[in-house]
Amino acid sequence: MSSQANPVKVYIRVFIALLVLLFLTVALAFVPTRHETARNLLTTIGFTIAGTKAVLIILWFMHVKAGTRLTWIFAASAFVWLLILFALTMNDYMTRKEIANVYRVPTVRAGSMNDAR
Amino acid sequence: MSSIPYYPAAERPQTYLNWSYRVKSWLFTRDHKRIAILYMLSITLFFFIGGAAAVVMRLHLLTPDGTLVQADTYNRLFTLHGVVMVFFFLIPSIPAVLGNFLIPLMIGAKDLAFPRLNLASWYFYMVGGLCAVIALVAGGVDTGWTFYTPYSSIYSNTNVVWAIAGIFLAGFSSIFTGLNFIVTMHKMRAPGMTWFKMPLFCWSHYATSIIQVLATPVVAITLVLVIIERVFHAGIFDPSLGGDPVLFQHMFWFYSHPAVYIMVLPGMAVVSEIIPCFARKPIFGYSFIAFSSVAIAVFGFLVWGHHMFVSGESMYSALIFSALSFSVAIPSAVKVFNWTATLYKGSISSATPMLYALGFIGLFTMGGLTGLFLATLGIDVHVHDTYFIIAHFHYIMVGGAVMAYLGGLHFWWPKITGRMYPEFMGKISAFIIFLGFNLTFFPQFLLGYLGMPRRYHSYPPEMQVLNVLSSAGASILAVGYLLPLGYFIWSLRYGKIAPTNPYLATGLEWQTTSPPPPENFDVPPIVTEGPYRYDLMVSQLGTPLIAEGARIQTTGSAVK
Amino acid sequence: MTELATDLHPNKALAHHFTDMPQQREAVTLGMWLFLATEVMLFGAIFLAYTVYRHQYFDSFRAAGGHLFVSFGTINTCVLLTSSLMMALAVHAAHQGDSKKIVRYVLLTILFGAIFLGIKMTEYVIDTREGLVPLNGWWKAQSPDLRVDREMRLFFVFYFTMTLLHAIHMTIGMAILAVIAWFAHRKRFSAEDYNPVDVTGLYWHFVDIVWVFLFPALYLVHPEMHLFK
Repeated sequence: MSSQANPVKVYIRVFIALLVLLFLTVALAFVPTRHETARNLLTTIGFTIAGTKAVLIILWFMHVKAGTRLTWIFAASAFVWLLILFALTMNDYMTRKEIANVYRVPTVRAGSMNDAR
Repeated sequence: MSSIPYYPAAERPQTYLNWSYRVKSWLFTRDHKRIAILYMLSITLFFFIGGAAAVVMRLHLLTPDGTLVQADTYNRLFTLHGVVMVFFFLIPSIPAVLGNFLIPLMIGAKDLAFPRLNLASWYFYMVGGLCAVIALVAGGVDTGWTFYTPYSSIYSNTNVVWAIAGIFLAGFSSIFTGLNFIVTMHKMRAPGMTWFKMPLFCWSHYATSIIQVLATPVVAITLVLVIIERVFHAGIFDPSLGGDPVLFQHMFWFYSHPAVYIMVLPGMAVVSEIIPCFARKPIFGYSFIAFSSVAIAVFGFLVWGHHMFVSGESMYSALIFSALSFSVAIPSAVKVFNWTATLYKGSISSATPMLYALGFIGLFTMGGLTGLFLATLGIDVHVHDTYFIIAHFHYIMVGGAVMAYLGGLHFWWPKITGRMYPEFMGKISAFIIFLGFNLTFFPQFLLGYLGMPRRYHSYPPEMQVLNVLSSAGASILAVGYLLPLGYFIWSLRYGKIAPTNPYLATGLEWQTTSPPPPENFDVPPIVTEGPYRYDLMVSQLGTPLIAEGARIQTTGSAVK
Repeated sequence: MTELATDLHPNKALAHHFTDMPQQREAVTLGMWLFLATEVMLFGAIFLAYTVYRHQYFDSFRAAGGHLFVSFGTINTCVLLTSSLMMALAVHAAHQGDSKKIVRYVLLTILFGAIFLGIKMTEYVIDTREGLVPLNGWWKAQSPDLRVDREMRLFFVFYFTMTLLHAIHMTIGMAILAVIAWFAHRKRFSAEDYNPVDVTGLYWHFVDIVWVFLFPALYLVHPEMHLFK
């Protein structure tokens, strides 16, 4: 944490940027679409904007930009761990349907084998 | 520091123990050493509560039909045993007692960074413990310590909410401890105490704290969700309302698997101190041991899915978790090899702490290697939820963590209390515990492989021999645990007065008086040398062990 | 430990176990960051559960999200961002040791926080009237399809759990801020000793960040929405 704080002007600029991003994300939500891909894209953009807003707040409002390397690491660590939690859990949920498909085939075969027996 | 004179008991200088005897000075203390003592007393209480439940269970399992308790009571007993031992004994054991006491001493600080938070952590722990006791007195809980949904959230008619509330609060105490340790190690090190001059005890505790800080909140919120489920029938984990019970397992094990490393990493911390001291050798591969602690903490977060191989987790997910689980073996093995390499050509003596440390290495290795069986998908399906698992994690938690805790307690007992423990009794009890432990849990490996499921109150008659062996071992183990309780208390009054450095060990904690003054060091230490310079000490002194009253000056020589 | 070294220090603000003010300041800031890391994991776990179900019940969640007011959500986000700006200005004032400005900006932070909670309460009342509270007896069927209905109910379980958890955090933050304002009024802070303002600011910004993610997660799931439904 540096002792010389950001000048007020910087805070105002960050604040305006945050508001612009907010209206951008709201506007995007009104884009009419029924396409699955387009919807997913919109969701992704929406959360990317949220992430950008969070980064703005963390870097300037929370002074990480002017902070020590240790502050950077501490601020980032939780998000890295969150990534682990999300990645390994969602990996399970994203592939469960695949499993169902894989199992469907042998189930039929097993049945036919029973018939043969 | 070397000029601290040897005082008879009556004229001892002010220590953290004797500066005030008022109850208030204990209950509102912010001294990390006194808080460590508070923790020690409370976890001992919980250890014997949990132990008593284990004894009843083992007695019950003497006969195949189990005539001692009802099936329902048996469910409550194993839940009680698990909840109390995991959340109220093992998790706080070494960190909150030995870590709390020693970390500031080892890095040359006056206290932890946040003394009030440290005290608050004990109060959170005690209130949590109280909730758990209420759950117990009001009739117990029968879900198992894992609180799997939807049984815990819908069907169980027992005091799940109280038990969960207790664990939730104890979780905060654990977070506070970890947070305190990390900040302390970053910001409170004495002049000259660089990261690589810190004892490995601190490195291990740093790794432990990472887990405590980053994993505990997840289980906290998960347990809150279970309470919300129970009270409001929200449906997050209820399949009949669209929820997924397996999600609970994901979130629960995201904490509870790393929690195993909260229990065993501090054990490794203790062993890394004891081994070089009683082998009179610098530790082999300091930086490897240091980084392997951090690696265990990080890898430990990547493997939780191996608890869910048979829970309906996706096959691809299981494959990845299985592969990742093997990775934990690498840093664990690095540690074991480095300890054994430290022993090589050392002047090994068999003081009590060393017996425990050696026991730890052997038992931890067995527990760890059987863990590899369980990480293997195919074998896990065979032995999942059998006594094989029970044996495996008891080798880690009892054979590992509890052995290390007892070893550490003996090792630092002179520093903590200013009295020596009786060496002969110490050795006897170490042997009894080692014997009793193996007799209790080795047959359980066999039982598990034969297919005896865990958490059953009865079993087929052909499994009786192994069960009787296990129960016999448990009774020996109980004696082994009661002995130290007895002679530790005895030593407070009749033990020999401990010198500053009874084992001629390195480390700043051995440079201050036993017990230390309220602010740890009369003169703030300045560190000039790395840890574990036993090579210097042997060449300088060549002294046999436990040379009483000997005072030496090597590591962290104090400024005059 | 009062009769120990505490009183010997020339600087009352410096706790006895620290050597100097920078050490104390760095320790406290680091401690706050670690605490925020635990908070990230706490909220993160709930977000995970939400993500799992949104992934599984995408259409029902979209339908359920359509019941929320984007207008309220957007206004509330503006309000919270403004309160964050006020907090940043308060911390800025603290760095310069300007107690009067600290009091002014902290009070403004609290005010905007209160407006946020007020709007949230209004929303809750409307939600309750529409039968969106996922409790037995409160929930009104939102879809003829039983499966869709229970999935929509699940969305509102998350909506209420997450926003209430967030509101609790805000309330705690406002209570702490009130104390900070009182201390600043009593001239407890100076350009050398402004730690409490600083770390409370960190906490407040974190609460803001949580909302920054909650807003698109809950209010913007439903494309082709109408501003007032």
